[in-house]
Amino acid sequence: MNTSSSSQQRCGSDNASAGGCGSKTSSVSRGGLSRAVIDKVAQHPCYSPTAHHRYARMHLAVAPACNVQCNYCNRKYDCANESRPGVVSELLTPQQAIRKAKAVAAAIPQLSVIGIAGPGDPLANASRTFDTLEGLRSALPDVKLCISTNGLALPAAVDHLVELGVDHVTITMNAIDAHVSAGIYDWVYLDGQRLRGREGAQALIDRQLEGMQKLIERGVLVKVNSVLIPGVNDVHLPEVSEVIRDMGAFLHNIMPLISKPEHGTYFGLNGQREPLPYEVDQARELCGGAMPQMSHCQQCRADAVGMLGEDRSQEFTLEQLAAESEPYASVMQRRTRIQAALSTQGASEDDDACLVAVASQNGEVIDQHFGHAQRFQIYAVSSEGAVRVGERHVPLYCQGESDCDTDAQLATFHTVLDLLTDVDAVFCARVGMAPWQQLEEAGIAPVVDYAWQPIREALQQWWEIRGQAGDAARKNQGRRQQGVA
Amino acid sequence: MTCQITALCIGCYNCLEVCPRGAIVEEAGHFAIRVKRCNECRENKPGPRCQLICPVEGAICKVVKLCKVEK
Repeated sequence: MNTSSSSQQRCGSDNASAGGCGSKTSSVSRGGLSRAVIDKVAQHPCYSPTAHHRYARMHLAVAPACNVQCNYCNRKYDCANESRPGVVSELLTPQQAIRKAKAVAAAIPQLSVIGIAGPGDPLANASRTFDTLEGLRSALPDVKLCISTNGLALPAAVDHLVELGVDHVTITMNAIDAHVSAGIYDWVYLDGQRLRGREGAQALIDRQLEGMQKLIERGVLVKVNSVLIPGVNDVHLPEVSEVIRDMGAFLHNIMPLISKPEHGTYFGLNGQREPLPYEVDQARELCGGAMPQMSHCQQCRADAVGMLGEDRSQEFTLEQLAAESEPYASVMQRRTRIQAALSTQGASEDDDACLVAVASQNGEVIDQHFGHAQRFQIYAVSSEGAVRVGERHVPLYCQGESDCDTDAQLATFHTVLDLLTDVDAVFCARVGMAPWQQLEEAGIAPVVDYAWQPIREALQQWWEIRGQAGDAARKNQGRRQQGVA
Repeated sequence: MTCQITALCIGCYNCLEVCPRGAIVEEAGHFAIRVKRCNECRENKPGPRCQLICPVEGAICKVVKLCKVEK
């Protein structure tokens, strides 16, 4: 009974917001965010103030181990107590996690984000976490992946995360000063040593900042979670906010400490009090000058499933998963259709509406060669305009000039084609002769006329011209039929 | 020379992640150390890695062998 809130605390603080924190209010300031960033977060219920109406998240509990001992966490009451092996044993192997993800994606078409958030630290379980992410990336090309970490093992993991297309990472940073930090962490485990006190705190801070810098350089969106601990880091948090702003983090999420004696945490047992609601508001206000604040985190469990504020994890226990699921290609097409209908108020179902894929590196203009794209943005183009529905990750089939037209490359190309069968056109900066023909044969129009133009305007223009051409064609057809009659 | 996991173990998997010799085995959430593989991380000056990352004091102990003393 007492364990769930302690679990929430663990998750919320160390892990959860990977995919899990919900927005109840429009509390994220959108000032200063580029269109591409807004698009990137538009389907992340945890990052965007509007996404929770339409999108769901899920956490996969594949990462039990942790390399930091936080004073607000008791490992004995592991995240959500179900996630603790030997208690309800819903810790998942990577294979089980992927099966579960497919089942949830099929059952909840609004599922847009899958995060790994514990119950320990994802990066302290590198092989389990990366096996899961790799499997998800190829099995579910249309979901966003994210993780939430304490940052200790982050610097070495950045390249791998970027390779897998993880473009949202949450780092829990409770302090930027080792003096303050030493009061929050008991120890950190690094390179075969247990580092305590300021030494451990400094090691953690250094790695958090190094990891954050690397992520931001690679274009990954970084959110920072901070647990507000009265008398420990409350007056220090504005400083954290300023540092992370200067580094280029995108959102700051200040969460209240959960600390009851019955949780058995160091803080709980030693009478560290929780902040009062007004103190949380005050801290957010103080930090709000530096960073956009997120004030709606739900401090979710490491195995939460569903829309924000709900948890449907009990519907998707391993026992309940069907042995054979529907092929994911058809699941994906259905998901895209439903998501398109949701984001266009149904206009995507009109006869003249269609789905298109766009190769864009920066998310704002059509700037990529077809063969270089590792993900395509999917847009629904209709009377509602061009609305971004999601994205699909595809394997890279063009590895350079030397190995063109090998069998392996052709096979990869067909995988790409299979992932695009439900779109009417592919917009890119350029496309080779051979893929051009194959796209046309597959009924997908390659469009390069709008290279380097802004995506929305280009799609809108293309759609209007297409509509006029369609009208003309229909009229001609009508005339011919009348003539025949 | 080996370490042992005691009944205080909470099944957090920390030790499994850091053991360089694959000496830790897990079965249905229960953990044990394979005596023949464990060398107490002799090469690691601070001590056995599993013990250093274990969040519960006393869940991983070094085993002291008792010898019979001839009277």
